Amino acid sequence: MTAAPEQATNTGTAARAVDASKIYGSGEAAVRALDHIDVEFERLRYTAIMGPSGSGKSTLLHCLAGLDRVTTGQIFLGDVEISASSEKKLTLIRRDRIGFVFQAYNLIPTLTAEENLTLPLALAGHKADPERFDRVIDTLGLRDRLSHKPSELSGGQQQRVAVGRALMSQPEIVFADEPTGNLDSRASAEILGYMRTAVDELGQTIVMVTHDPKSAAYADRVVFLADGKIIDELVGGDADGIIEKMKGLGA
Amino acid sequence: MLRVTFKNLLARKFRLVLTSLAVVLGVAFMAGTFVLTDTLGNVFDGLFSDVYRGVDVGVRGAEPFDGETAGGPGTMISREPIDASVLDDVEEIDGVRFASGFVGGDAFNPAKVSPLGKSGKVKEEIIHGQAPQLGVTWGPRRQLNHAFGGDGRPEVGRPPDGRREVALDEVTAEDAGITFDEVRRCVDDGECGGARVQISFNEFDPTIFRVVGIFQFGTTGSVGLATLAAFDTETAQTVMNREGQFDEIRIEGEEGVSQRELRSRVRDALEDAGIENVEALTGVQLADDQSDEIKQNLQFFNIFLLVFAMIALFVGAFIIYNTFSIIVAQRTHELGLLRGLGASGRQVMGSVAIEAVVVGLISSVLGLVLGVGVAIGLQEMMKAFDVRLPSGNTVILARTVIVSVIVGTLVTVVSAISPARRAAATPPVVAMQMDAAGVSSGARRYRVGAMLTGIGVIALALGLFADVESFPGGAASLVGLSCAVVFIGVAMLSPLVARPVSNLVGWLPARVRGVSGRLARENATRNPRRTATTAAALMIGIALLTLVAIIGASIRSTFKDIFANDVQSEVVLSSKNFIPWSPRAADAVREAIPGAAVTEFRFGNAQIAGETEALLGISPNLGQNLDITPRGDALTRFRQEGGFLFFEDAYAELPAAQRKAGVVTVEFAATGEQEIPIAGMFENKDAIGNELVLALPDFEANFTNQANVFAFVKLPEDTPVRQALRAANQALEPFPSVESEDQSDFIEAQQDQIGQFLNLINVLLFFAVLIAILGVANTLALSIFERTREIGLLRAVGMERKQVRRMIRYESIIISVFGSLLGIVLGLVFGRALVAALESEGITFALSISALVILIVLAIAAGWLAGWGPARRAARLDVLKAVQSQ
Repeated sequence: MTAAPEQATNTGTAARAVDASKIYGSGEAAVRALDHIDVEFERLRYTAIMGPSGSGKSTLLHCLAGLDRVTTGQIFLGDVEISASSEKKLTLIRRDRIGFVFQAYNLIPTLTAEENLTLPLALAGHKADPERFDRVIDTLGLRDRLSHKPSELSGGQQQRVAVGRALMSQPEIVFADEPTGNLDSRASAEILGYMRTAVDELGQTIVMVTHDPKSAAYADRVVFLADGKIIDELVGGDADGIIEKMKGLGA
Repeated sequence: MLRVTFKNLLARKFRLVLTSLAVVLGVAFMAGTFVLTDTLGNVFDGLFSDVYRGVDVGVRGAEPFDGETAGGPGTMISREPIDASVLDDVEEIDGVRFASGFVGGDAFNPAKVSPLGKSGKVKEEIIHGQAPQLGVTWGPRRQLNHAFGGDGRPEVGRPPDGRREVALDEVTAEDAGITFDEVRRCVDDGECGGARVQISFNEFDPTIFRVVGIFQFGTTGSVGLATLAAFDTETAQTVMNREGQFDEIRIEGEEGVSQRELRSRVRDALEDAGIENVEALTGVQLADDQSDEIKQNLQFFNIFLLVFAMIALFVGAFIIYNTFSIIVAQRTHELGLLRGLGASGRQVMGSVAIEAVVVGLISSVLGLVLGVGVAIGLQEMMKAFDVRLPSGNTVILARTVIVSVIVGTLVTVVSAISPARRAAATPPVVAMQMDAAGVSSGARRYRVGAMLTGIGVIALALGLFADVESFPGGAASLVGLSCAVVFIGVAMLSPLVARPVSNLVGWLPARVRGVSGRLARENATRNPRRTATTAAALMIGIALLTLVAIIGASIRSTFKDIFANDVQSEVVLSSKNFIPWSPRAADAVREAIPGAAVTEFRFGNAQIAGETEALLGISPNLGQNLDITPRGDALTRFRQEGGFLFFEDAYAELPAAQRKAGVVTVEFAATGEQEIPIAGMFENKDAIGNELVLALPDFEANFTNQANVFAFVKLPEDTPVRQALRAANQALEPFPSVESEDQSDFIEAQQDQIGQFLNLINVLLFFAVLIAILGVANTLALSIFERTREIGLLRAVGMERKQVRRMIRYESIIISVFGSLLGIVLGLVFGRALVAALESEGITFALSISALVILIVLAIAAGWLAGWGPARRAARLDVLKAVQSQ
């Protein structure tokens, strides 16, 4: 299998945070969710961000994805500094260059699976590239579910549609926030497998937040966060390795 | 978490305000109506107690036929004047200090006051809309003249004295451009060039008078809209056609003689003198009586406005019902949990009911406060429609407060009962499992809806076509009530069609607006019941607007048809606001266009076989102008011998003996019982709109007041219309209130008058539409609240704010258009039925497509407006918070 040509030749940084801090509240009550973070996410890689509750992993993801803004520091998507972009521009960046997979209730209930899959493209007023469309739905095994509404799909199927939607427009980067948090282990394995395939075969870049070492094991690289700081990382670890590492970090 | 709670509360506050607004507006309308009419009543009370302040006893002509009128155009009956010699008899009575004869105050014989320009040329007459224009008497005794400024003195100048002098009320003087200085110059220096007006009455030719005084009418507030022209006693008798007669004798008693004592002495004296058809009343009685008479008209006005307030409240009820339904649905989970923890169904229902009571009470009180403002607004609005009303100190009666608060609260609680019961009836387990939008099957709802619709339709048919006078409030209230029942029934059934119709309506936005349009359509059809109930509120307003449009179009087209088929006249004489005008104007036109057939119309009441009937006095040359389809030689006999023409149905109701004899016994107020011959029958009353026609010579012989309403002019063959109009206009110069128009102008002018009244109704109905718009906004706001996460998701995957706004707005427009389509269909059904019921009056059905198009455009605008706020709120949602919310 060959990867999509453009991504294949384009190695380098897909997204990075430079000295990024995020502070909620002010004065005494101020909470530092991100504390001077510097981190890069390479193209064509599957990165997992791990950390205990309150470590700032979700905040980091949201800031990287342009859903939230850092208080100080910079966030780059490719060469574009999104931490300096207007809200309107951010919306367009999200639409055209980023894919999202959330934990649950990820689909628009009034739209069919097919309409959900092509939603970001439709919002931009584009049609889906038929070749790409076929490839995505075949990879995810959604062909016979296209005309179903979300309420007629199982949780795993819904999440597959969500993954498909994130991949459909060939975004530069896909952010996934606990994508298997609401699924049983079989469906979880399925989804994580699909995401792995997307990186390997469709040439996508994925950054995923998870607290589950088994999920993180699907990633090429795991970044560990605690108290708003990057404290370690692991490349090519399996679940046991990750668990060991976490024990070592006291997390 | 605290932040989420706070947001929740804020959202609730917003929701509470929106819900309340529906009640607030309805109650405000109702309270405003009460305040307005009570205030007006108070002004008139004060006014008439001023007029009769110094009067201990008054003598006037008895009311003919015990005050019974026939309805229709000749509704008002005026009292007959009393002979001047009665004054002599009264003066003899022991205990009478002073008595003075009074002439005037007859709306049938209006004082037409025209200002004079600098050049001395007559300008257009002063007409204050529908307000009366009265000639009155300024008698010699100040104690009996409290009507003038409260103390019998003019503000400037002196009382009128002599044949060419008049005093005007301040507003009329101002309208005539006459200043206090000019009056002073006239009185002091005899230079009256600037203080002159032309005045005419029906039977008094236009004459120029010097204005020697300007007075304030009474002391309470500013009535200021009626035209009042005061003359001395003798002049008043002359100008108002009362030579040797008075309309009223006002008596001031000696010290120590009570009003009632004096009244009985006067009554005895009148009886002794054998004077009949007069009555003596105390000053207090007279003031009350006259005030009551006006208040009766106010009562009508009050009911007219209250109907619209009721409609507004009815629409409000739908919105409250819907809001509470949504709130209960959203809280199903919470309520289910409560039930699971041991709360009884009754307790759950109670908590919802208490919320309704609180909302109802707060909004009723707010509405009451706002009502005072509405009263002022209504008055201003009526002014815009040429209905001028006096103003005075705002009167808020306890009744206003009590009724407003009770009705407002009751409407709220009743509307919330069914949602509250639903909340209580849901088993706890189901409630906890069901998501917010959970819906029951609704089979019962549809059964009840179908039943209500059926009952409503049957009742409507009864009200329109059957004789249901026994129903409380008569046929009109039955028709209104059954319309309301049909509205409720259809609203209950409408979820059945909400999905397909909304899909159809949403086709266009989905087509041209991409995802936003498609999502709008999906959202509008997501919960058909909610969409339907929301739309139902708008449906009511639109149905009534459709109904008005149909009635308007039907009357217009009927009017046009009548002129095309039954009227041969090229020229019509009429006056603004149907103010009666002088027969002399008709004579002038008759003279100005030689050979023209001028047919005059006058209205009066008389009794036949004990029933008061509306008589139409028409010139004998009737047949030359109008086609009434006479039987046999009826018209020829009418022309030659006068007498009665009967519409065939009315003829059938005559006593057999009179039909056989060909003579009808008629009781006239002025001349008593008379035998009038029957000239014949006619079959078509469309053009004249009355069943009894009396030849003008007979009319003149038996009625005191002679005033035209219309005159139709058939020109001689060789006279061009334009030339005739020019001649007529010239002849009418001294009669500025009379207008001569060719047929098409006349039709247009009449239709404008109808149109203006219908516009007034439309404006009042907009209140209901406004409340419905609030309802749509409310539903949308609540729906968006439910869909926060979904909207966050859309924003996260790249929906622009603009697209979010568009999505919500289109949803709003789809709901609104759905509601208005329902409304138009219902309005068409109601309109068709109503016109069918009016068929006997000659009204035929007509439909104005453009009006319907306007209604659809209105619905789109309403939807846009309703969606505006919610759309902004949705677009402003914080993406991250929205995505994370549950």
